[in-house]
Amino acid sequence: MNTRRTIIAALVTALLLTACGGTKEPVTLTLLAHDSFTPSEGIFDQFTTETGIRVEVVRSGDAGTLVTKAVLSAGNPEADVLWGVDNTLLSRALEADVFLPYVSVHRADLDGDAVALAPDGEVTPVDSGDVCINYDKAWFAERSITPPLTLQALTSATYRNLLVVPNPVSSSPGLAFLLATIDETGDDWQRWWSSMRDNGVLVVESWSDAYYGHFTAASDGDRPIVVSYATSPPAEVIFADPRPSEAPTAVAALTCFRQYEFAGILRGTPHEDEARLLIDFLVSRRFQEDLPLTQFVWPINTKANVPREFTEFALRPDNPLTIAPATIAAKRAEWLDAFSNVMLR
Amino acid sequence: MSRTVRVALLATVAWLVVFLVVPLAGVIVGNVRGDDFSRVLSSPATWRVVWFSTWQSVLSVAATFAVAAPVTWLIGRHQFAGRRALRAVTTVGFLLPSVVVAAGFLAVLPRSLHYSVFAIVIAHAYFNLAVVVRVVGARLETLDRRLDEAARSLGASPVRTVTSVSWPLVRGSVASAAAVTFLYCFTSYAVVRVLGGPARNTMESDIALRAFGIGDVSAATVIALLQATIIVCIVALLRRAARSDATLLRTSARLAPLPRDARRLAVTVSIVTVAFVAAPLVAVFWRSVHVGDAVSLEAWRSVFNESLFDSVVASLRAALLTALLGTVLAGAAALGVVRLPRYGRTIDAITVLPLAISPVTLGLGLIVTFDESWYDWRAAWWFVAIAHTLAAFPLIARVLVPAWRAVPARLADAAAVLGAGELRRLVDVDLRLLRRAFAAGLGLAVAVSLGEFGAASLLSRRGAETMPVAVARLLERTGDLVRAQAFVLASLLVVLCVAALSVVETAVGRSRDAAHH
Amino acid sequence: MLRITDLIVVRGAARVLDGVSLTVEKGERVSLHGPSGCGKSTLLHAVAGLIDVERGIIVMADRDITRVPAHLRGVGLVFQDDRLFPHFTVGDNVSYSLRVRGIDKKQRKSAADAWLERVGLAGFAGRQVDSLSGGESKRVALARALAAEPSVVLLDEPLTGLDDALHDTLLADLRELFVSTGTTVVHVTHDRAEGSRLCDRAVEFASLRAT
Repeated sequence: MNTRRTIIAALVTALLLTACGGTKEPVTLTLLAHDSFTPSEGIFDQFTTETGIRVEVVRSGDAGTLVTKAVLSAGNPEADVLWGVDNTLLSRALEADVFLPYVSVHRADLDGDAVALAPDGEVTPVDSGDVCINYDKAWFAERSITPPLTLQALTSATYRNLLVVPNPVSSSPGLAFLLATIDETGDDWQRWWSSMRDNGVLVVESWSDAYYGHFTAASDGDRPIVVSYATSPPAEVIFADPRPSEAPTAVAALTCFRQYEFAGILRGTPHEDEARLLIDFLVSRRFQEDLPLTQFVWPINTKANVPREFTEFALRPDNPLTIAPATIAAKRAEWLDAFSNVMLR
Repeated sequence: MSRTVRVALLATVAWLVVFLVVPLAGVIVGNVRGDDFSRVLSSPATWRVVWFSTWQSVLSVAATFAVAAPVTWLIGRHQFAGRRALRAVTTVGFLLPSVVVAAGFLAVLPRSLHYSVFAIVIAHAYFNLAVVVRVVGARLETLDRRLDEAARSLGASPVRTVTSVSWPLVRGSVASAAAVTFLYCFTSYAVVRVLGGPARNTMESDIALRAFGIGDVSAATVIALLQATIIVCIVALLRRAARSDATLLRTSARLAPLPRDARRLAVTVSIVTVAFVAAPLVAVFWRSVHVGDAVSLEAWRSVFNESLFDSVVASLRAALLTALLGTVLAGAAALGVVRLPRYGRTIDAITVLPLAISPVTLGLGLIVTFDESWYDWRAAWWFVAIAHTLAAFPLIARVLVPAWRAVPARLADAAAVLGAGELRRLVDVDLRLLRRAFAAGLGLAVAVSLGEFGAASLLSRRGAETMPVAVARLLERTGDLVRAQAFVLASLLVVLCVAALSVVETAVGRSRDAAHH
Repeated sequence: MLRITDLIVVRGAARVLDGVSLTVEKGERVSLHGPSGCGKSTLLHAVAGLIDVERGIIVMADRDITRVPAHLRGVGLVFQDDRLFPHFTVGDNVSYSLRVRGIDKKQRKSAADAWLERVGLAGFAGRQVDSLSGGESKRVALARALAAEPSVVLLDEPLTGLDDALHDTLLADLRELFVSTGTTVVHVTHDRAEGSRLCDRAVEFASLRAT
């Protein structure tokens, strides 16, 4: 009897102890980001020195999952600042009133097109990129096959079983690609996807699984065509050792969809003032100049310098495919459901 | 009705109402309108998902029986050294977290079979092996071999004996096992998600896809309701199949020893079965100490140093709380069932209720309901334990009720005559005698909580993300270290669950031995 | 009719039957006595074909049945424990041997009814097995074995557990039945009186072994 009571007491004490957790030090901001948020080590040291605020980065899945979690916990957030909502997911986050508006002090320096997408400052743009079809040049050269240049071309039997795409439901580049197909093929877009289904397209959960798990140029997978970024080819050059003179992969420029990424203060955070300072830091030149070579995106601050090797190998399409945010806002759920009907069910 | 029983029942009912009935009602009433039903139910894609759920389940049931038949026959018909150990081994798969099993098969199967129906089916067979061995094997054990002899002495050939005597007596348990297996495979989520890829969805994963991925809670609710209806029908069939079993003979049958010429076959069957059960687990451990192709403890080190350790803490916390809460509530319900034989059947049915509601639906209900100010507990660390308690509650009750029923009333009477009040009698007599059953219940609750995936994946928040959810998330990314980390967490889950399982086994085993004296 | 020669039955390392011989003429009724555990039941089971024989010969009606499977021997065995099939009704139990032979339902039913009446259980055909008393299930077991109309009937303590009146009635009925049909019977019992009332010849089990 006594031993049992002791055991129960021990259990309850253990529970209470773990429940209390630890006490927090003077203000640490939690920055919640997707898995591709990989700034240089120590990038936040300058910020901490200047403001005394520590920044803890938490990576939690792909952007789609990130936004869903934010929506489900609106007003009672897991973190203070969110990085990684992009123009395809923005509508969902704004609908759910996830953010606390703030107009950054650096606003004037930021890309006008991007700022226009969130004029009231609910979120602040932080970078841009293009989501495009990438292909493995060597693979196609070896087999003397012409690489695909348009979305329509992908449906031909030449490219059977060669494409891998991330799931638009959970992945933001995946969603961007879906929107590209909708912009390009119009009302017939479901027919495009169902022919792609017949043509053996592989849908995987995340961009990193597609690129590092199945793309021939970056893994031991067997798919030489992948949905990725216009800045992936420079990444292949810069990270290779020894550096090749030419990029091993290339981009089908006609398939690109412009993507803008945003960061915002999560409504309900206890550290509003500190969060504002962080937002300002994220769009400052210091942080923005780190972006190209660590995350392979274009800085949104027009005053930021972009390294030469980046501009040398990266493609910036003049007329990428786009869809107005208002349209995305209205039809996203319907489109994703239709996509699921064709591809996932 | 005594006061203690009344309080106990009230607590259980209140708990179920607040955390089960209200959320479900809330989801249905608050989110679904008539046109949602027509929109979802008229889409052929919806029925494709239902069809996929169905045929992969049927295939899985067939695969399960194929894998289980030899070892079930062996264990059910013969006595041999190591029989008890072999049976315990077959049970391992059942109580392991579904994510761990899925990870294990990911580690064992070649790349070409990842994201395939084969992987899904074989993982299902892995789990449900235990169901067939336990249910059909138990029935086989009770079959009197001497009935076979009687039939043969009356002129029945060996084949005829099986068809006219052995099979009819086993039929009910086979149907029962098949139905339970079908149910588990039909509502499968973690296995389908990890091993099937995004393009393969059962109804359960479709609910998560719609609610969590697309953000269409109304459609998700419709699917959840559809699934619940289908489950209820299957359960009704299950009950009918179980009832048609003929009563057992009064005499207790003893198992025949292994005939000499069958010995080699028996050894082969045992080895193959053990290898099948062990392979994914060994693979999980193997992968956890390999980063890429190199042997390395890097992944283990990083898990204990980094934020991944939070998930270990979260899982343990949730498991402890589930164990305490679940045992108390199931105990209260069991008390009601035992002390009130008139309402016993109804209360028993109520305890089974959470089982019929799929885990994802449960999670969905909880998220959607508890979202207003003072009762927004979704961020609380203990909230996921609520979902786990709901899942574990029926299982614990099912252990406690029969054990409690076996407590002889005369002991309590004796205590009463010696002056012990009602509460005192409860503690000194019933709870004392039920120590083993409660231990088994605690062990079960811990195992269920550690492995629960469906609800936890919806309720996961930073700081409260449980290990299974972390494993699934890590497996969806690429990177050698990340993969290895997933397998490290999976290995930890295996160790913890096996520990919980062994508590259950020893508790149940010892009480069974005690009952024989 | 039934000739058993030098039967040896082994279980594990021990010889349960060590060179047993017995001859029973056609139509003869023999009662077999001996202390419990000496192997009387084993002998019956071996003759019925339910236990493998290590060495020796069993001949029935000039046919060597030593290696013939149990279901083809045509030997009826009434077990010491009843072994009624729990999933069949009483009537279906009794008519089981006929069912195996492919006899149609109507004939099976009338046969079952007739045999049940013979053992004093008229009208029991529709009853469930678990509703029977000890004595009743014994009688059903008897009826079941006899309904097969085997040429040799082996009885393994068939009447233990019945009350005196029933015991005597049944004994008389059985004797009359066996005499009228000319059935060859081997009757194992520890009750010598019962043995002498049913059978013509009494044999000590110990005497069956050649020295």
